[in-house]
Amino acid sequence: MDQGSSLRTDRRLGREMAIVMILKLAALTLLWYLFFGPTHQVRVTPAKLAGKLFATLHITHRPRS
Amino acid sequence: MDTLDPVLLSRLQFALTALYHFLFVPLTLGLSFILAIMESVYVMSGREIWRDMTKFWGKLFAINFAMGVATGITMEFQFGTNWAYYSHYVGDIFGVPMALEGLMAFFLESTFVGLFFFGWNKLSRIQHLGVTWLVALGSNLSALWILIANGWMQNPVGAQFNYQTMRMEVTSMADVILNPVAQAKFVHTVSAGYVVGSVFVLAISAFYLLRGRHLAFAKRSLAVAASFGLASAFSVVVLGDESGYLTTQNQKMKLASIEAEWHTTAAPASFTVFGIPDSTTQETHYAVRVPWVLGLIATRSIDQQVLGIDDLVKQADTRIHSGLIAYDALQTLKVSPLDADVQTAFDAHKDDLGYALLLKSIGVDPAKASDADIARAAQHTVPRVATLFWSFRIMVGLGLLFIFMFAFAFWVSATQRFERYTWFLRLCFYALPLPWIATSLGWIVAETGRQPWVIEGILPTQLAASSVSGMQVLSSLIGFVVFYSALAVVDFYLMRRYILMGPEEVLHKKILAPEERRALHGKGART
Repeated sequence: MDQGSSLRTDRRLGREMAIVMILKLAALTLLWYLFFGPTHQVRVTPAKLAGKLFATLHITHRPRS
Repeated sequence: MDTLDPVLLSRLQFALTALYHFLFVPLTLGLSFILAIMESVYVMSGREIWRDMTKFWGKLFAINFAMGVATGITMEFQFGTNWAYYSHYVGDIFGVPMALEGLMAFFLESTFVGLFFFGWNKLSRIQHLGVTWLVALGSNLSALWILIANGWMQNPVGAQFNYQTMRMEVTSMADVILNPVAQAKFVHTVSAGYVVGSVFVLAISAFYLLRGRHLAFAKRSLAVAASFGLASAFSVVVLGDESGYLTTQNQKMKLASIEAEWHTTAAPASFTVFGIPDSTTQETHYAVRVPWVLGLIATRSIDQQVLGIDDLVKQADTRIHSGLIAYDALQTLKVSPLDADVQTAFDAHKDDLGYALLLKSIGVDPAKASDADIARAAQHTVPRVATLFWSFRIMVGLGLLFIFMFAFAFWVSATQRFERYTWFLRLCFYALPLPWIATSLGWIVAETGRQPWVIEGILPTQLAASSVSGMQVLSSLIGFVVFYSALAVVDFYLMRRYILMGPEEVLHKKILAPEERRALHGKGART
């Protein structure tokens, strides 16, 4: 068994995966910053959600058929 | 420029990122158990070829893991922007399993994945085997929490709506975790992952056999894939049946749409094997039906009906009327929280509040809804029947093909007739993409079938999306497509290269069968 060659293949695979993961994390960070960071997040409060779901804030309670 | 529908684009973005992420997940689930099985054989038999098998398939597992890790985080990005209302409405329930999934994935799974790769010369055989099993269990536990979250969206139990905070709040975490829909979904999904892993090993082993390379390695790998895959494929069918039975209980419209049951028929209902569903005429043209089968599968009886889409629309109509009472009561309670009569009215109808919100999701003010509006909203509860009908049938057809493939591979492997059935080995190789198609279709059935709800019966999808511009969603969608396409190219390149190199070149050693090793080194040699 060629231990040295095996280690070289392992190192090569490890290097390739490390590069891919670093590039991937960089790309994810960039995507987050460009489209999903704090400035893009939508702040929701109970009042805001009530406004969306129950736009007519108050109507007289009336029986329905 | 904002003629772009942000809700549709948000749904498309979530679906694409989820489906892309799920290219990696099932292979991780399946391959991790196959590695554990191979290494168990190595530890029990002491035969070096099984260690080599574990190491080589482990390299492919590593590529898949490295490429897949963190690809799911983009879905969490979207919760805060595209789905902010959803996040507020159900964050109390959804947050717990999501946090636990993060902990399981990063701290348990990743730790043991590291030990698996770097521990071969540092741990004893038994210790390393324990690590490999923990990699498999850790991966599956991660999946459990995600599927608990998804199961809750299909069957929201253990929570109730608090109108003060305008959100669903947990009343029983045990009910959320032990939700039968989530449990059935979990075992069905992980079994499907085992099938993906098995087809992957089967296809690549068949490729080596066809090329006449690494024969001892490929024959043993194929035997493991065939036996584990056969057991898993049968499990998928049995657990899928359980999932279908629970759908009959909790998501009747989804079931009726999958089966294109436009009208309620006499029990036991027949199963439509083939047909062309037509939403306009509410008929299935050229239908080929098998008597009784749907009734037996869906209700496990011969005297219970499977409700048709028309009757379910009528039920939705009734529930919208009921929900409107809760809707009106809620608005009064916001102003006069101590009004006991209104509180009683709200409590009596609160389970149907989500149905009243369906009116808002089609652009009608519930306070002014006419009966015609209500009928239109009720009709809106029918998902895309043709999409569900065909996705389900193709998925099931592929599942049956996998059972045949694994059973035949098992027989070929047991009788060692590999040379005689080269057509079958070719079939196994060309079947490589099929399990991914089947699992993606499974998700399309599960998620499209839940529409128009994001939380079944509670919150319509339309109202869960944020008020962001279509252009903003389109920009991030393009960003994701570019990002994921680049990852897919790199993943394919790395996988292909290491598969073509083969185990001997990757491990830099001649892989010998035990009998070859004995002949080479004498009878007393370790095998």
